[in-house]
Amino acid sequence: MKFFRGDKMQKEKLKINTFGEIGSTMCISTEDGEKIFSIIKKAFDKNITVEISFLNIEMITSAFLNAAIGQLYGKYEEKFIQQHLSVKDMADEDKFLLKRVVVRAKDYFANKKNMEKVIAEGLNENA
Amino acid sequence: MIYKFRKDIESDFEGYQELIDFYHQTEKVFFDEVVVDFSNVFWFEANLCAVLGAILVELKSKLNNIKFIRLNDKIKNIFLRNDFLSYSSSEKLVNFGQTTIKYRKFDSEDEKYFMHYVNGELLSKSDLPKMTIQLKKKISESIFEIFVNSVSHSETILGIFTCGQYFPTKERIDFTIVDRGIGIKEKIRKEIGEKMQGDEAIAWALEERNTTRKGDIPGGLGLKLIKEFIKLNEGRIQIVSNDGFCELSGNEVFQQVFNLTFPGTLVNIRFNIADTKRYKMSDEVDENEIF
Repeated sequence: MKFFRGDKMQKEKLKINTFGEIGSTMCISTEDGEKIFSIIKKAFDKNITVEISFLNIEMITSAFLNAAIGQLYGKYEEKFIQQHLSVKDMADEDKFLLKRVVVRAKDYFANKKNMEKVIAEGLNENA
Repeated sequence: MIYKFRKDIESDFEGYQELIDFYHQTEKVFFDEVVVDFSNVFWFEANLCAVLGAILVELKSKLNNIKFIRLNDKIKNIFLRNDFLSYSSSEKLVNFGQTTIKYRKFDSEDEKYFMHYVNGELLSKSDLPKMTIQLKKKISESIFEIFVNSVSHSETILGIFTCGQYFPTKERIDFTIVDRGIGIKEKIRKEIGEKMQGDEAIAWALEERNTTRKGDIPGGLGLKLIKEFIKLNEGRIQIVSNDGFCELSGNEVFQQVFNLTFPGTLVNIRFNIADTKRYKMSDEVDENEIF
């Protein structure tokens, strides 16, 4: 079993302590979101389930959540994320924000795929 | 050169026009003394120091010396208390009142300093007008969303400028963030190839799902969250970007186009601090159904 940045692991489950990772009660920047994303990605790539704890976090922006969680939808299937990701110790209003970020991310990547498909088809027609 | 403001500088279309004119009149001056004459200005809204500072930074980068003359006592006092004058001259006052939110300049990578600033000027400042904890949190979140938005979208190299003011008796906070980036209209043209008028571009950016992002990180939510909050809070948001002006207040939207272009984007928000709403979500989100 691999060891991830000192986080406790229980049977293929990685627990991420957000406060410990970013060193602040405020999850504001895209940069901090990227830190969390890169840890989740490492675990997901090894098929490890992740639980993110927001204990001691007082403030979260959509920019942070877009980087930490939203961009997962561009790399992994929705079903995989549902089976491998959970959140804990999150305030109700932050859960509401996370839900909006997730809905928006699904929409964003669906549009992106469609756009890329249209461009690829256009290129094939012109070839 | 001497530049004389023609009238009061307030947070409205005419006030912004006056500042835009100042920018264009002095834009080409290099290695000179720029004397800014305030004799026609009876009132200069404190939070707009962020806008003036964002203009002066370019003048300074062109090796100009800036001098303010004929400031009335009222304006001089405000500029001293919010530290604005200490950026232009050597004077610096200890803030006697608690009603100013200091003028500051940040670089794009200064997010941690910005957090510290908001914490000090807003969240943990004692003797503030009474606000609910939830309202303080919502206000801070909005300010952070705008800052992060500027960092990710504006491409500013001259910095991000902020300033604010509490109005205890009017029960409001005015807060302004300015970036010297490419502006919303230019960003849309550059990233998605759409040509719009400045005011239309701002309105486009305020709509949910609209984003200029094309990379791995999704976007298109930050400004919409602020728009929703400001409506519930019965506050006001004004955005000036390139030649566009857009103001949202309640259900009213006011759009207009300037005859000259602002070099970046400014967001000016009026928060209603008498608001006692709890901002609880009507539907609780089930943790198992988020993803």
